[in-house]
Parts: sequence; structure tokens; C-alpha cells
Amino acid sequence: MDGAPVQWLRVPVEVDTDDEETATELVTELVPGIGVEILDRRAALLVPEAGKLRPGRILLRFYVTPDQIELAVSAANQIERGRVGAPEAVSDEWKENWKKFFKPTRVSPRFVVRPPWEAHAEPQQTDIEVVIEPGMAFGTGTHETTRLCLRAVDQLIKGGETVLDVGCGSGVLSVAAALLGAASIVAIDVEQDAVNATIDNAERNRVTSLITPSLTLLADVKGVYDIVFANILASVLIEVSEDIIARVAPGGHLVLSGILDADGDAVSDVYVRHGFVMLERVQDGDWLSLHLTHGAAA
Amino acid sequence: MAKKITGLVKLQCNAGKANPSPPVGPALGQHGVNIMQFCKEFNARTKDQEGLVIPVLITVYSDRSFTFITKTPPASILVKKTLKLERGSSVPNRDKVGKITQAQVLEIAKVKLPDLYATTEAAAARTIAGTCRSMGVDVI
Repeated sequence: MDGAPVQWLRVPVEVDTDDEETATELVTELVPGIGVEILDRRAALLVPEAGKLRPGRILLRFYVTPDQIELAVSAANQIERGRVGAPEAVSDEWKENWKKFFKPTRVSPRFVVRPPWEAHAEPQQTDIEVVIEPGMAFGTGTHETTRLCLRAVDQLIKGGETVLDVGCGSGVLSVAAALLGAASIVAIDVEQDAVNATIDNAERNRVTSLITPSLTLLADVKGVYDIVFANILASVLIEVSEDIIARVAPGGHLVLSGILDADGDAVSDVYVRHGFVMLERVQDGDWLSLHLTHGAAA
Repeated sequence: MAKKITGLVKLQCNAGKANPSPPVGPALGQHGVNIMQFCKEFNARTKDQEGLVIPVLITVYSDRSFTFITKTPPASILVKKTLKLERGSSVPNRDKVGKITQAQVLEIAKVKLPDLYATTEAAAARTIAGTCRSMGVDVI
């Protein structure tokens, strides 16, 4: 997702419903890395072409870059009983369209997350607004895992803490911590889009001086922090557990999220084995956040 | 309250590795679905199957929230993974690319059973054996 924007093309192919697997398999084998969307009449409200399909037929739409288009069309032409349509340019609208449905959301007693283009309809005096334009980074405050973390920020930040935000995404947690008076926040992510979004969102909320966003790898982060947030995925939290543990100050707090309920024990076992004490395990839908402290509670 | 379904979209995604590149971004973004939210959910639920391409059926609701169910990988992908094959044969009757045992066919049949019309493992195994033959893989 970095560098100059790619102009994607789409090759539509109508095939028999029963041929879905063989057709997609044929093309994906001949054109490495090609993406496919499979539509039937149930997609009619979203994709008008799908509404025109005859019973027993489905629409495959293969996504390719211009350098692969010839190969993709020739592969599509080999599909039995397939009808290949003219390649279409994919408009960039998809990068913006989903944002229309991002509305101001109250996520904790004090925090309301809102996109810059929406006003908060019913502000209360105690509300703290976190203004987030997520771009192509995770964290609009509407996902359970972000909500769980923002509630933890609301509870934990009293003022003056040092914070590490591992996998900062849109920067929503870092900005929230800064707005509550954290002394300094180091925000890292492996995606350039996320770092850019965090920089922009820090500026938007006038907390730039408090947040240091970068692509620094967790293993290269130095020092210890009063509070460490890591909203990633269970598998990653287990994989990099030693690097996370090393960054939590004695008596400091660790908030882990991005964990499906079924994976909760596996994650908590790893951290508890390293001397962390579980303070709280909070569930929202299928998702968990684990709130631990390093050794004895501070 | 039951939410109104606006449509169903099916995609093939790499287990544990969905990202906003096509098909995910355009297919979901243009309909108002939060792309990164889908990626996070999908990756969390498929991390155990990394290395496989998984079909995923996404239900989009009128408020653009979504739910999804993952399907089993295409049979041919499972055959190739089992035999560590790069690709199937383009002339399956003549050019054979490998051999698979009945026991291996049965293992794949067990995985695929939920998504096949077959109702027994034996019937599913016959379907998988058919896929093998069409790829130039002999069942021994």
C-alpha cells in the first residue's frame, strides 16, 4: 500500500455456479497473487450486475494490476462455460466510501470518537472528543478491541505517565492517552499507513508534541514505560511476548487486546508465566482485553 | 433487533493475511464496510490456517456492519498442499504430476465435508478423488 497508487483493473467472468472452484482455481494458478470476488444474485443491491445473473450462474471478478491484465484475460478465457466481460478500471472510491458509515461513537464514560467530517450531536460537558481520520489504518473506535482499549485508557491514565502503543494503527489510543494528560507516548507500527495516520491524528487533536510515531520495530524500542498498550492479534502477542514484557516498567500496566475469547487463556498464560498479575479480563462480543500489571501492583 | 441484510459478497483471502489490497478493499470498501475491521476479524479467526487460501462469505447489513463465515479451502489447494505440488497437470489424462493415497484422500474429505453436497466421508472421498484425477494426480 505504499508508493504511487496502483490503478487496479477488474476482469468480470460469468460462470456456472458449480464451476466456481475450478474456475477460480484455474485463474489463480495461472496468475499468481490475483484476487477474486464471487457474486451471485444475493449481491444485487450492492453490485447491479449481480442482479442480472440467470439462475445457476455466478459472477467472478478478478482484480489485477495493468501488467497482469493480458495474462488474466487469457486465463479467464480458458474457463469452461465462462463469459468474459471487458476489463473495467476500478475507481478509487472504495477508499472513501466506507467512511460515510463512520459516525461519532461513545466508547467509554468520557471518550467519544468521531471522524473530522461529522459533528458530535449530543456533547456533554465531561466528554473528551477523539477526532480520528483512520485512512487505511485500523482504529475507528467502533471495533470491540479498540473500545476495550479506550476504556482502559480512560481508567488508567491519571496524568504524567509514559506510554508505549504497540501497533498504533490510526493512533486512536495514543491520542486518547495524550488528551488525558499522559507525559509522553511512543507509538509504533509496522505499516507506514498507520504511522502516517497517527501523525495526522496527533496534529488534528493538537497533541503532536506528546506523541512520537515511527516504524521502529518493537525489538528496537528502548527503555520501560508506565503503561503499554498492544491491540494486535493473539498470535502476535504470544510471538513477541518477550519484547513486550521487557518494555513494561516494574509495577507498570500492560493492556493486551485483539484477542478472541477462545485465545484468551493461551495469551494470559504466557504473560502470567513471566510474573505478570492479571488484574482484569474484559469481554466485548467475542473479543477480550487483558489488563495485567508487572509484578506487584503499583 | 434483526438487522436488514443488504447483500452477500464472497472473497478468497489468504488465511491470517488479509489486507486492504484488492479484492478486499474494493469489494468491501465500495459498499461501506470498514475494511480494516474486516481484516482484523478475518486474520484473528484464520491464523491457524496460514498458507491456505480461504473462501469467505461476508454478509453486509444496511448499517454496513458485517458478519462472515469462512469456508474450507478449495479441494485442489488441499491436494497440492498434501503432496507439496506447485500446480496440477494441464493434461491430466496424459501428464501425471503425483500420487495420493486413499488415506490422504480421506483426510482431505474430512476437511471438505462441511462444504460438500456429500453427507458421508466415503462419498466426500469420492468427490476428492475426482478432483485429484482432474489435476493429474493418481489415487493409489
